[in-house]
Amino acid sequence: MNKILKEKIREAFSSVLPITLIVLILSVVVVPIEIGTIGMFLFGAVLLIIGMGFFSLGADIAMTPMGEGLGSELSRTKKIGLVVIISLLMGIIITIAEPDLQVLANQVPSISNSILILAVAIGVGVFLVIAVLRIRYRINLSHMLIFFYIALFVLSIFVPKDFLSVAFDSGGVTTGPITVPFIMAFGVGLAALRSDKDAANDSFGLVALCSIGPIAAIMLLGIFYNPGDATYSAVELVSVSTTRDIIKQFTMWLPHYAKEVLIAVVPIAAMFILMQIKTKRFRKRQLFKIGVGFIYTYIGLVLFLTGVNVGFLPVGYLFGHELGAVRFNWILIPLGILIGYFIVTAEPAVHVLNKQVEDITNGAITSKAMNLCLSIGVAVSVGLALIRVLTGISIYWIIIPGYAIALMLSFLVPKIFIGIAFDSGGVASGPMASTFLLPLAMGASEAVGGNVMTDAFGVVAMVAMTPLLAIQIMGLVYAVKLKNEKTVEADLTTDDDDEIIEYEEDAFDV
Amino acid sequence: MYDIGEKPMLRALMVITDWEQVGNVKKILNKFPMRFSYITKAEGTASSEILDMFGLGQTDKALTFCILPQVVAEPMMEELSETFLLRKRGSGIAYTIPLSGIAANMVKVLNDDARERVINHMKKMEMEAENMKCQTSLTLIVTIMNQGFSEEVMEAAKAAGATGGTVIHARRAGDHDHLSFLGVPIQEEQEMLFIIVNREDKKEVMKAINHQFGPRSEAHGITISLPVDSSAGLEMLKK
Repeated sequence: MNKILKEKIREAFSSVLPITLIVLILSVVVVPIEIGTIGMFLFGAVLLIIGMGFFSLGADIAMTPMGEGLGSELSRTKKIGLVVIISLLMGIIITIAEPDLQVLANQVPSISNSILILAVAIGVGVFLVIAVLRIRYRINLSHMLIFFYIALFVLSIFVPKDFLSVAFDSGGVTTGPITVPFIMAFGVGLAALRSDKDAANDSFGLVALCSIGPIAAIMLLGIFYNPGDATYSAVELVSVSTTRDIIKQFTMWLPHYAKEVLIAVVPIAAMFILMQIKTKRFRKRQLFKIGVGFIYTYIGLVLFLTGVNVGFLPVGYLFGHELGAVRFNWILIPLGILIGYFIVTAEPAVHVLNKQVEDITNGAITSKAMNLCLSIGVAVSVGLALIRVLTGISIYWIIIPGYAIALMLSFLVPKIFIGIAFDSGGVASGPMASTFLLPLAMGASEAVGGNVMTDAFGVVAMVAMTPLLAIQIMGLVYAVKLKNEKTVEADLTTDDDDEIIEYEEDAFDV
Repeated sequence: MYDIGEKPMLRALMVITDWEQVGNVKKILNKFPMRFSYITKAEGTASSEILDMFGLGQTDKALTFCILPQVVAEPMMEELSETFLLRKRGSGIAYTIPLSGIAANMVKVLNDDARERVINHMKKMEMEAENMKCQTSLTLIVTIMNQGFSEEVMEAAKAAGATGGTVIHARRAGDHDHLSFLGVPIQEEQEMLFIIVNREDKKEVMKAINHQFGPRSEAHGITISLPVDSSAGLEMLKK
């Protein structure tokens, strides 16, 4: 079989199967679930696998070259005004398009969807500009992150309590499966032509800064819009009994997501076409390939989102609900950790991040290492989030120390890890987090009678935070290893002989 | 005590394998005195245009480059062939290129390494430490061109008798044609295409590339060829 096809199939199976099996086993052993719901879940998993395969192939051959192309063409222009305008527009357009954001907007009915989406989109746009300008003025990424996070925490004092968790969640949610591959590739493209030594480091960090925009936007909305109490829309479960019902559910929702994703990808395509007309960067054959890849991406996302929303969301909710109601409800925590460990590989953008990291570092940081860090990070975060659901402690107790440690670590680790770590926060918190982990926390919170708005929301924020720690710790280990290696090689430099030995060239017999 | 000499025969070794095999390549290199080894990510050119158009053509490859004494090159190649089944088409290739000059202090380092590690290894493998002159009928063609043309250049080369190639992405060095992005130096994107061909096809392939994608074309291709003095995994080309 074709090598790439084989690789993609393997990747899709290995990222979706573990979480499917875990859920299946748990549904037999711990939380008995109606067979209809499990049928939907399994069918959803099939869609996820197919969708993941298409998405990942499409990201490789279309989204990545498009983003890189745009970045590298933009880095040629000397007009800073143009750079600012394009970055701002791009940030706004792709955020409005992000399907994850629609989900978030629906969860906060107290603010009208269009206002919320516009606010968040402008937030992302502004921060994308900041991220691009950061490169121009060579401002240290960790200084910048410290500044903005402190500003966020100060701002949060004035924010109604019910909005806090949603605000922090939004940072992770908005950087979803469309935004992330594109912005990441954009960053790589911006840095690709540079010949200074910070080029590789600056390939990362755009998503990191872009995640701050939505948090700030929702906090500001909470303060100034004064929407009264924040509420959420509860998960509605449909009961299905026959196989036909199951298929009916999916075919009912498929057109909905087909439309949603179409709205999401069209602006990106338009932007790309404009760039191609202006710069003629890509050759005919490459364009054809990008077109095909774009269709792959579209098919992949539609299948993935349908599968996850119809198949996974109810199971996540039921799990939380059932487990929260039992007497030993602390069992939620270890089970949540288990689920968290296996769920992150099923996030579509994670593979894009891993591949890019491997490319930029030429394999120094492997996908395997990235996956391990992300898995551990998300496992911990789900554990923390569920502790919060059971105890009702404030999100501050976890977010503030978490970010404080992450920001402190950023002074100790090699620069490139800072960008990767802070980017991966946005990457790890994608559609899986908002359609499985969030309903899980919501179900549990309802069952224990907690405040869903403050306790259950925030789970995405945790998922977005812990990878910062996990990956920076990996960076720390890497730095220590590198230091040890350097001492071995030190003896090379002792010889100061500048002689050149030459060979007779005609001896080569060519 | 063994010494590879003041003026040892040195080779540049290039190993091109699937990206997933990087770990295995490193393992083999580590058995030898490989202080000067470098790995970069590359792309294998598509075997067919149709597959390529549907995104199933280009595969990720790893290009490993290292400098080593010729006496080490041969056992190294053998080890690589055995481990990677380089003989099976498509899984990887390796070849060496003679060097025409080197800084003396590097020879000293290579020498130190040789004393410490090569010889033990070679004894173990019962290899004789004589200068093996291994002739091949192959040659390496390198084309350096503007970004985006490598697939078409490969098509032209194939038409003239080449079978496949490896692309690495590079950028122009030096301050000529130098742009600047917001105060940061920017260099033009380039692609480098490495093709191994039989020596008798060399001229035709180079001509074909130069004809369509030479310095005067949009691709600005610069094509050179380098001697290859030993190889593995290229049996389908060898005669």
